[in-house]
Amino acid sequence: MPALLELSSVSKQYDNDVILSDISVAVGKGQVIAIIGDSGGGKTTLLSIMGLLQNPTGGEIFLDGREVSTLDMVQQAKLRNKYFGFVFQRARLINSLSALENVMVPAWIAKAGGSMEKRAEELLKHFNLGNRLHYKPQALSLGQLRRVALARALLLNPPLLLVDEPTNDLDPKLAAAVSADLLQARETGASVVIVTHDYDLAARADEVFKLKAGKLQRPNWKTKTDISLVADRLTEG
Amino acid sequence: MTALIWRSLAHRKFQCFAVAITIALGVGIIFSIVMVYRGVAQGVELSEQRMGADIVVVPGDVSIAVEPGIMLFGGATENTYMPRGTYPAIQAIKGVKSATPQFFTQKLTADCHDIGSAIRMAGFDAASDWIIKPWLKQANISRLADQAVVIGAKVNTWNQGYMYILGKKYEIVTVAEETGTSLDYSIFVNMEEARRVVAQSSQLQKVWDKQGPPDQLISAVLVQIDKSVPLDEILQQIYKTGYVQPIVASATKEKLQQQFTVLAWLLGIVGGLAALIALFQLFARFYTLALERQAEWGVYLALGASSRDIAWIVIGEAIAVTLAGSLAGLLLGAVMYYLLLQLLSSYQSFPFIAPGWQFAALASLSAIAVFVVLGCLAAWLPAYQGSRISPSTVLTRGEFD
Repeated sequence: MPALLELSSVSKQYDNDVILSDISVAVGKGQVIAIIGDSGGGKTTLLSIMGLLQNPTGGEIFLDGREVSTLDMVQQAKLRNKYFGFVFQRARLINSLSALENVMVPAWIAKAGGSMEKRAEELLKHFNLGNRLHYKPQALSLGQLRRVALARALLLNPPLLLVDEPTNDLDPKLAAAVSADLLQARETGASVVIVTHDYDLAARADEVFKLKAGKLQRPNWKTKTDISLVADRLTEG
Repeated sequence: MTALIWRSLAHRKFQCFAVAITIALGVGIIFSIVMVYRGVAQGVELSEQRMGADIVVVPGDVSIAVEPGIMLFGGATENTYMPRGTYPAIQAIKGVKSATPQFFTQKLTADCHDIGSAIRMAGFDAASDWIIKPWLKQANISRLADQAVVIGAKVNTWNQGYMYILGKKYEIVTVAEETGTSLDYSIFVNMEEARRVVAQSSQLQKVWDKQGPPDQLISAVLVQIDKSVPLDEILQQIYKTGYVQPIVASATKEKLQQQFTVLAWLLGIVGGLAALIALFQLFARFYTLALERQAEWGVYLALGASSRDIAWIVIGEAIAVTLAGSLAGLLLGAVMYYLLLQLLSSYQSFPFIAPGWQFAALASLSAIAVFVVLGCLAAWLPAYQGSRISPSTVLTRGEFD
């Protein structure tokens, strides 16, 4: 499977604090990868480096075979808009915009607003938010916020979805619904990288990585196996 | 980006409205000041150019309370007279290049004529005049017939080509150009006609009894001097011609200029302060905005906006607010200009010529441009700060608006 995104010996440190060290990972087209690990272990930092939200202090990032970590901010911004769909840990919706407008933001940035409004509506309807199109985020529940954020991430059909703790703070039923929505993106051919504590969700990924002490490990478990076993082993560290 | 700018403005409509009002006040004050300044400056300049009189000689008993500006631009509006012999005597003085007499008849109230407002009626000597003639581009008058009048630019006429004054029909020979002085509200007839008009006045009978019949009198002599002859020497000679008082135009002009300068300074300071207040308001607004909205801009950056896009959002909002404020300010400015004119019109010493629409358009565009530039300057620092935000801010910031 050709790699859509590849990190090669990536490291990140703030002053003397090493957050990530010698990370190498490849995300194939249509592949779903889960990254699990302790809180404060650098998962979000890794995700932000994958999404070109910040540059690594060492190593290289290849997107569609092209080294992108050395590009300037404007070029990286264009790539973010074209390649990535982000679902942040918190929904990160703009309170001044309605649900529909929030979904439209990537299209406005890509200057494709007119042609995308219908798709934005369809996405929200798909996520059972058809009757909440013009609601402001303050009027939406946590689960609804997550789904609006997911719709926003999917609007431009990005080849790669980067998802940070999508089921945090959700009750099991809602978490299952959001997970299902997320994994549905795979059906469109998009690659998905999920940073999560949710072992149920991680177990449904094609590959699971564990981030520990700044290093990415590929645990010797099979994915899609017994969830409780995975959970036990994760707890064991 | 335009969609984001528009929605952000709509979301913060009260803040935007407050800033726009501040800008509108600034633009309104500056626009009205510029228009008034221009009008007064044009009036003074034109008066200086066209009014040939360096000295206005009036009877010695003309009230000192009379505004010098009125004297300068139109002669005395009082029924005070001096012997007509004063005119050739002044003409003969060494250093007097040319002189022309005027004869003031009376202020005409609305009852006296058919033009509906109070105006001043005076006689002038078309042969020697150089005061009125420069304002009459459409006619070359060397002699005015008894039934003929020249009227000022602001004298209303209801009938085409003629008017009735004290029951007599007069033909309007020409209308003087706008001077911004009392000339605009004057009717001029020839000297003999002016004397005939007042000869029958019972109110002035005492004046004629005391000073002689009107055909032996004049009200003012307007003098143009030879600059090579010392002014004091000429003034001394003028005093010797009788009970007269010469009003030196240059001194009056200087006084007017001083008054105008004070007014200009005052207007300039008020306008400058208005602009400064608007600038600080804008700066405070956009600076606070930059602090408040870093997380929001972080989202835009994360979703693919470039730092230039963020800068454009800030600048775009500044332009939109300043543009809206400026347009409202122009409407406000037009009202303020009108009110200021009403105020100034009570001071006849300020000659005023209303600026044309071209100047008004230029002033409007300039005011808009200045405030949009000020808005952009005020937004520059916040825009710069916004453009420096790391896209990863979105991952570290708390909840936001």
